[in-house]
Amino acid sequence: MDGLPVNMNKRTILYLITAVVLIAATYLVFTSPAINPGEQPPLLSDDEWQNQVQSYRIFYFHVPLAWVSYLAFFLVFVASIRYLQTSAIKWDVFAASSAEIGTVFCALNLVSGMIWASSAWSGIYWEWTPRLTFQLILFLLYVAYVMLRRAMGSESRARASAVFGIIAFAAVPMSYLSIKLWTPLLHPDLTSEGGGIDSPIIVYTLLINILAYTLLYLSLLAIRMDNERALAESTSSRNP
Amino acid sequence: MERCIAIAKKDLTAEFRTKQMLNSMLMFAFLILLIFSFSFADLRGSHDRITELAPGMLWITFMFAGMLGLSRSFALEQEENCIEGLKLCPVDRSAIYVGKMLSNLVLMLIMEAVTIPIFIVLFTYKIPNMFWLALVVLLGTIGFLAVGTLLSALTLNAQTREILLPVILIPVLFPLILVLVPATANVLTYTSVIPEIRLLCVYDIVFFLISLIAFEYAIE
Repeated sequence: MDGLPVNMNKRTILYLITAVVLIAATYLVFTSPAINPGEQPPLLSDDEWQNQVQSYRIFYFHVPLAWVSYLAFFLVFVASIRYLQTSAIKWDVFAASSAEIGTVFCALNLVSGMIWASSAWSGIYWEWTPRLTFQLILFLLYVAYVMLRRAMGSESRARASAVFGIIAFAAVPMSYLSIKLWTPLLHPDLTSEGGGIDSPIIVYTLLINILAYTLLYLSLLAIRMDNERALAESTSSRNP
Repeated sequence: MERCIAIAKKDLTAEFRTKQMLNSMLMFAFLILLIFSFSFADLRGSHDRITELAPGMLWITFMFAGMLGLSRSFALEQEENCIEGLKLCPVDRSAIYVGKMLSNLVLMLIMEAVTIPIFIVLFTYKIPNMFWLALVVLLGTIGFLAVGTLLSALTLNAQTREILLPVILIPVLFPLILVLVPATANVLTYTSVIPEIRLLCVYDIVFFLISLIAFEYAIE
């Protein structure tokens, strides 16, 4: 193993930690108590109520995905600014990789939310509630970013996507403001009082899941950046 | 400021000589409204039902017709390589952005001013307070063009420019649309639109400033 370069070793350690934490986090999701959704409504039978309580376990998966999608999007913004400042290709590679992973996480977040909603809101998958709308806009911006990259010629791709990365990030707080004009409804707010987090184990489970998915994001980012770099090298060697 | 107006004037002079873009925008807006009118023919005359549909119909018409103009706005410069000449002008790059935005604004406002009466005729509809509607439409159009002009310049070098622009523009416009549609609905139902108008102003200013700064990099 001593023939390996140093950064390869660091990579391996990162992947290992990610795998271990992910497994531990997933184990905790099923063993720790579910988030308490509040009082049992009188209309539901005990079985139905148990189902609903158990369905809240999806939040251990759902919340970390949302967190990673925000993180990834913010990093795209930072990398875009850095690229315009320095014109160093590594920032472009970073932004592109982060955006692609963010798209996947954001999509998974939306889908997991819709699966949960269909059971909790009696069959309704989609509702124009503030948070859903917000997450949807985030997803659309990500997709637009990736599509723009795919469509641009290689000479102007990096600059165009950096500009779009900045303007798209500006759209995020703006959509938050627009959404706030509506009355907030339906979506469980975990952090508010009585939001369902009533034992420290739930907090730990949530935190360790967030950690696990952040590590997963970092690992995927490392792999994706290698790919992008290899791609950039191969295209530049083909037409110098 | 004079320089921006000079660039806008150049664009408008060229445009009014042929009226190519304006005519297609007007015709396109008219055609969309015709499709709506046919689809919702049964509702004609029922003021309440049309009021529910009007904000969506109006903004779909405006934005799609506007997008038609936007995608041409910089492509026009690329013929005969005019864009290089424009970049060589001894003016700030941001003046090009503002100039382009102004000329697009004039074209879009003309299109909207013609479209709204057509809408009234096709749906036998009465608009209660024209002034507020005009204000909302103006602010919405400015916001639309602040982002649109930048992204139109950005996609200049893409092979699939015409189809790429709407796909990347609409997600950025989404927060604007989320305010514009309720604002228009409020105007049509006599409800107060002050909070929406305030937010529209914020949106316009924020995106105008960011685009102004980013434009320099977009056109390089």
